[in-house]
Amino acid sequence: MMQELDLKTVGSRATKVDGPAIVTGRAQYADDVQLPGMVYGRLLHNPHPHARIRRIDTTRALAVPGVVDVVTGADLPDLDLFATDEVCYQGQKVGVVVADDPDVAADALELIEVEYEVLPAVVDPLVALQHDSPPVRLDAPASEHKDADGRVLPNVTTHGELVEGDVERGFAEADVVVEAEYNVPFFHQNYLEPNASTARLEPDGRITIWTAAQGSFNIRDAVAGALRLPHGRIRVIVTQVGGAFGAKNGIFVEAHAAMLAMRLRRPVKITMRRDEEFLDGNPAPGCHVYLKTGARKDGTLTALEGRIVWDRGWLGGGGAANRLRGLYRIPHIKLESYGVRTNKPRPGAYRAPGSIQTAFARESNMDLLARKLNMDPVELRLMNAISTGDPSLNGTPLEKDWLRLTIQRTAAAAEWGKRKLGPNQGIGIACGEWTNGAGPSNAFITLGEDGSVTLLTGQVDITGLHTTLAQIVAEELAVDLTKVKVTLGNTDMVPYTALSAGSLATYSAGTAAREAARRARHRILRAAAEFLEVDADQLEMGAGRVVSRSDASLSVGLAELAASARRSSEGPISGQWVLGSLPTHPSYSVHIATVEVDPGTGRVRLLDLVAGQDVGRALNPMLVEGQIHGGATQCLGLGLMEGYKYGGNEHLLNADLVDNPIPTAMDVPVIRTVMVEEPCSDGPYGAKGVGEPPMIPGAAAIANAIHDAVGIRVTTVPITPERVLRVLQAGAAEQA
Amino acid sequence: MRSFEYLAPSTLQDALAALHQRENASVLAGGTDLILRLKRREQSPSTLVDIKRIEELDGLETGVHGLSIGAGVTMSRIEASAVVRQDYAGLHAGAATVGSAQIRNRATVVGNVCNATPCADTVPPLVVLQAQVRMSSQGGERRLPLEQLFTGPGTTVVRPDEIVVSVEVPLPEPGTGSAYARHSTRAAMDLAAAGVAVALTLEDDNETCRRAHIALGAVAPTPIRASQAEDILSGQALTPALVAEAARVASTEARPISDVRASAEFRQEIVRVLAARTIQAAAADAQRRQAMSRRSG
Repeated sequence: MMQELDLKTVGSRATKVDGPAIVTGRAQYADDVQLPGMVYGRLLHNPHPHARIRRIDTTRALAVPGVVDVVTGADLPDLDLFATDEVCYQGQKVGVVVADDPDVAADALELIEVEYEVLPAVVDPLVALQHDSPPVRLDAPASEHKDADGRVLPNVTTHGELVEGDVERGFAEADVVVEAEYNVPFFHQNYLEPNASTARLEPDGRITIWTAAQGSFNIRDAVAGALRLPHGRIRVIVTQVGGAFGAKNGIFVEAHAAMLAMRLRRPVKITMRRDEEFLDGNPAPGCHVYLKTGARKDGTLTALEGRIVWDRGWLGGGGAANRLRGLYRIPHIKLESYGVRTNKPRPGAYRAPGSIQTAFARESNMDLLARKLNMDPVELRLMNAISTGDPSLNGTPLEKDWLRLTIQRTAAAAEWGKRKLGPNQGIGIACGEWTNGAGPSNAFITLGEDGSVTLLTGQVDITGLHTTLAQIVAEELAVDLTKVKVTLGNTDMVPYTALSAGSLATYSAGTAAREAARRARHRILRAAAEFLEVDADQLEMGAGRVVSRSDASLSVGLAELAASARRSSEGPISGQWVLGSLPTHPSYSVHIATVEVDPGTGRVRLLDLVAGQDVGRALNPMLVEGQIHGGATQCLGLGLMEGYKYGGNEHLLNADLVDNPIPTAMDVPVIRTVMVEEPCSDGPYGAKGVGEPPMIPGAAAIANAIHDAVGIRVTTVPITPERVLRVLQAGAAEQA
Repeated sequence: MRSFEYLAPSTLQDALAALHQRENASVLAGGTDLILRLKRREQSPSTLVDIKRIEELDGLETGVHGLSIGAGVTMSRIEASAVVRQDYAGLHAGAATVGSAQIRNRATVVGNVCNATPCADTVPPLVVLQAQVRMSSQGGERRLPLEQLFTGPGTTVVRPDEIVVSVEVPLPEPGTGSAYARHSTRAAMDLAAAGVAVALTLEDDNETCRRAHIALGAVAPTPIRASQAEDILSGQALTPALVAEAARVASTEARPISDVRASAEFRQEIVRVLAARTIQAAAADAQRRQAMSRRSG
């Protein structure tokens, strides 16, 4: 069981410190930034999947009253902010109009004349993988990758192989083998807040950028790189972030706004529309997976063979295959991975990048295997799950039996094997794995002369982080939570801080806050000892005061102490901690979905979802549950409705939220959460990262539940009614 | 969006005069479709004539002759009306399925009709309930059966100087029931991939179908009638086999296209499934109404 710590504020369901401002509309998001003399930029996007730019004429746009500037790549010969010769995806930036009014800028945008020569394009990664595929980029360096016949594969950018043991021997030892092919499309993070950035040239020649991002330093570095400026010229202020999910790790329009602000010497704001987010954002990459799993009659896994082709958009890039093994003991493995270019935007991170796609294939295959073995899917997973002492995916041995405990407790909460299901109803389980990152992070604490405590950190809050940090500081200094104020430091105020990504924020900044608070506590006790003229070890802290253990009448309030410290030899009371890194541990998520399938229309209704997660320790159970609810909702979206769709002419068909739908409240059942609290030895109070794991297993759990309900396997997400009906009818035709 | 002149007259006369005097004016009611089109620059009227302040267009009148739905009446008001729920169940279902509660508080039935999107949720039920459309211009008033209003996706016979002032729905005769069902991926906030409305009049035996009206949405350039399927049901006892056959025929009358939302084949299959269910639902509604009238009679 969980080791007992005497915690008061940490572990409580404290409401979000910024909650009232958010729900009353007072929170300041990126687009809320208004500066005197500000002008507005609107971007011109290329409409073709692949084309050559023949000519651009901006004369008519420049003549529109209210237009301040029109910029294309030709105006910026040293920078890569706009395409000049070749465009390689629909949505690529070609130019920008700046005007007094954003609608005037949009009017002028329509008057820019661009002559394109349309080129052959490819959006299917399996087509892009072939030697005879149209090249995605004419200007790309020659590919080093060849097929078995020695022919050059023009769009392949990476190829990797992971081999352990002897996979042929593994399959020879198997009594049962299953294999299937899986498809995952591009899918979008669909943060509520479209990107917006405002830039201003300061009197000293520096540039200030306001934007909503997951880390101010990454934005600063990326803008510096894009504009070829020294980092010190740029200051980045992160506003309230209206959803990010990995997408806002990097820049969207920050460099464009900064370039324009320097050029025009006026503040410039660029706000993206929703369709621009789809066309010119950085959605999650799609993939095609072939996966073959072998097991003995008793269920012991013997071999895994697979190939994953990652669709990496126009710039290409890599993608790992090891997550296809994930969280099971398998002695013989051969996994191949390709990264291919396609005429699509460059994909980025989306909540547990790489894990979601691979878990869909892996956990679907495990379900197929359980069926073929005639074995309970929970039993099959428990039997093969890595356990205490086994190496996790990143090599470190498991401290505790986290995975098996999470499977067991989630199955118990879902009454696995005991539920009575109606006709066309089914239940399915799937597991996910994620190992959070760590650091760098920081915390700077100051005790105020009114007894309040301020915490300055460079760690951006996208999940409720600052509430948890306030809880940690309140806990360590034994003050009321309302006494603690958290401030986000911009790039001028704090040392380099990692992105709030990879589930590292609370793990890292939480540790920094605890260590900084402990240092502040030592300072407070020393100052109190001096003030009260007793030994520091005679003192304890509580309710905003320092009190002598032996004589309760000897005490001093924090406000008085802070005021007197101004005149003390050590000066005002503070505590700080700069964190480099920390050892990390895997955390596991298990989803059990119950569905009902309409056999007439193929519509799948999610009746119930039990989401279990190995969280180490829930520093704020309400916020952890919120993460689980949100992640589970996003993966049910991928499972049932979301994803980029391309037409026959390689054009994106659904750059909007009507035809690229995300679940609404009507589509989401009550999600029951199971928090497995078995602390790890390195996170603050034993906590692990919690943001990413809940996104991982849901799509596979739904696919497995559908199989249980109506006996069919859908291997492509989203599992739309049409896909269900097609497989149902194919199954019926086979039986007839 | 591009800039435009905005007018908000308080009388129908003023609104009609504004339309008469201006080229390229659009009528604004709920705006749940129009404003989106303006933002996307798919439509750029030089004037918007907002009719929401015109009191005389705001009426939802119910009576022995039927239902009169003024141009200002929102989906929410239809949804909340006990009379509509009681006597026009198909229309109630159609209005209640549009968008979300927020959209329904804003969107109007007449707006839904005038937009003429093939997937409009209130149109197939209004068609099977034999609704008529009342249009006004400075030149006078005219009426048309709703079915004759549409000329293609997004186009109608309504002239630029006309305002559709109301939709008139006759009170369904005793023994008549109606129903509407649609298919969409999401449970709400979605557009129909296919929709089927049915109005049936049963004989006194409560089993034989005297007359049937079937209308299909989102499976042709305009909402269409499935007249062959109607003929199959008319004068026959509603056996499961007959219903299945009518549903099959209705699906062959659909002329869907493949697009981002669904393939043509899928839409056709959905029409078959929904038609069978909706015929049954309309028959059940007819029996319910029959029972109610007997009780009150």
